[in-house]
Amino acid sequence: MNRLTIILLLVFCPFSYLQSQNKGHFSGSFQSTSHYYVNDRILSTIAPDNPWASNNYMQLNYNWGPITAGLQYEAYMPPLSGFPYQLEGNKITNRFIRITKGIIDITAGNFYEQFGNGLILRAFESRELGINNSLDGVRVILRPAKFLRITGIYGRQRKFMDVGNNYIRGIDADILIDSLLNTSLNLKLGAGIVSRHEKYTGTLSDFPSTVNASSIRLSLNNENLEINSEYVYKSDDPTLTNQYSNKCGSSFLLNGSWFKEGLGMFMSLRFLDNMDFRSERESEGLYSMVNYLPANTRQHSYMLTNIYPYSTQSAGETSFQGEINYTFSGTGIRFNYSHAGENIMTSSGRDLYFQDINLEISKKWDTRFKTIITYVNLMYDKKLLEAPVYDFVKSNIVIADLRYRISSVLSLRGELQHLWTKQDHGNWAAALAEIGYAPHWSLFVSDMTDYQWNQNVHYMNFGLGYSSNFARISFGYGRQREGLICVGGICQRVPSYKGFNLKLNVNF
Amino acid sequence: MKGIVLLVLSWTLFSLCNAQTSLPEIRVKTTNGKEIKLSDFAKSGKPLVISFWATWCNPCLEELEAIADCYESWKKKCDFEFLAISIDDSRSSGKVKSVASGKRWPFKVLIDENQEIMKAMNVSEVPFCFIINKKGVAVYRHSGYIPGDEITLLKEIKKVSNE
Repeated sequence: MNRLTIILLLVFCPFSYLQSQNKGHFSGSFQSTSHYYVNDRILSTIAPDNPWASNNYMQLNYNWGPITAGLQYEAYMPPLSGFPYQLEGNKITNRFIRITKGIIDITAGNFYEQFGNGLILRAFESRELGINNSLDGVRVILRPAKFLRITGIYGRQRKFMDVGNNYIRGIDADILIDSLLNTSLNLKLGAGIVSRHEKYTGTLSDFPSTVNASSIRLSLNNENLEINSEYVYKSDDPTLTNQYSNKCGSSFLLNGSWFKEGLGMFMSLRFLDNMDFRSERESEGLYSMVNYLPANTRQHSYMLTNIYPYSTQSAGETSFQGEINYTFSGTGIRFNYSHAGENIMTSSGRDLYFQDINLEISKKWDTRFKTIITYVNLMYDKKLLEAPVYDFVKSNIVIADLRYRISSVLSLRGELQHLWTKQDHGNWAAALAEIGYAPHWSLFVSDMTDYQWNQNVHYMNFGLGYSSNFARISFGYGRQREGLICVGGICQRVPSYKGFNLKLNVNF
Repeated sequence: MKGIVLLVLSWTLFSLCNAQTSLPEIRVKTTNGKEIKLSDFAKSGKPLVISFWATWCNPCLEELEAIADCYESWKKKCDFEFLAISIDDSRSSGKVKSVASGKRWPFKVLIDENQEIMKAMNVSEVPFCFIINKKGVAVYRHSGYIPGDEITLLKEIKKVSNE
């Protein structure tokens, strides 16, 4: 009997026995994405020797009163194209036990956590990118009074399928000032500190083994207004990413929103200076991040709006975003302006990294027909954000999203998209058609082409999906474009491929 | 030996299929920054509908807009509580109130910024919808949104409401 079978038996048997005795609740999920790669004559890509790749996650949770225990089993056999090769293999990667009783909430094992806006600490999982920064250790949350929350953490960060060697520890607190002052305005003051220890074995006498990042934040809100601010300071942290600079890091974030029925406005301003903070000073790319620095831009979901996605420049950046949402008599308007450039506090601030001005107008014509028209004006410094050989890209994108309900359960959706640019690959065109038959079936076909660059290349895909009460399964075939896949402000370059894909999600 | 293993796993999976999900004792953030235990919402004695969504997810917005359109008429037909839990992380969680107000959503909106509730409820993608019965047990789940899904949702709420 192999190790996996023994583990499954040890885990399943006692839990299912307790379940049958009505002692607690068992729940879980299974997520599987598999690809079968084929040779692509047009793009001259050759399928790997083993054309199968599969990412699988099984999560099991058991809850019995104040106690919750869980584990996550992961199998990358091998990882999907674009995912780090270090993930290959299978094992129980996360396990934890959590006790929540009265003022105390204790977790031992793997846990996810975020302090404030994540500028000093965010332990999280993104399966789309193969990131799991969970901490393996202990977390204690205390709520000694209604107005006070204190969180302490100590652990080592997960590194691919194993755990890193370096320690992360931190403490964070929130005080609800309004509870103390008895005011109608909600006021919250928070502060936190995170420390990373990585042994230094070199010869420099002043090289820091321990790096500290601390933050202070204040938020206030009432019925129509919300303001949230945070200031962060990070001690000198020479790493491979910042070319072993001794410079300290800092960041300031200010978010504000004002809203009333039918109208919502949002703005965000952020400065970053040398804020890359990792559990290992030699690591690069997406992994081993201790903090979370998402792009301060609008996150788009249409195909052509994601050709030039922005990724945060943690070395130095000023970013601003403003957004308005307005609805009146069946019409919705969403306007967003996002801008990112040099840090104006430490440089001239003249260099523009990214700018996105977009307007979306949705109109419900009657109970059956709805349209969403989107215009995007986008500027993208590809030479800075990807590689020096590229140009600065200026583009305009127009999207028409048309939705028609044939009956109460049968619907059609069509997307027509066009991107105009004189740089990079030139113009792009894309289209999508989708038919839905609620509550189970959906079928789509899409195509995307950079027709000025290469007329013969069509990134065509089709897919069929079926949903039931506890499961969703989808099957597809097509060609994936080479490019950046981004979640938050974190991006990963994925190679082009052609092949079949099968996705299964079960929740029980 | 393989037979015994298969038998045990089959029995286990059978009990899993009959498993009941209770709401986690985890706190979720309200849009005014306060924290509230998710399990407290199940204490009202009404069926609870939970929809996980995000400001960047078009099918989620489409689903919630469809529900918002019928919400008042649904409330006249059966008594239930509806929670729209946003999984927007710090990139866009500040926009949640602005989007919800701008779209005139009549239901409660909560924020699960580090996706802790989402993980505790074993949700791996959005949109995802649960119906929790009066005993706090998840009796209906649905992943994704196809126009017309809201009709099935109402049927299921009515069924749970009449239990």
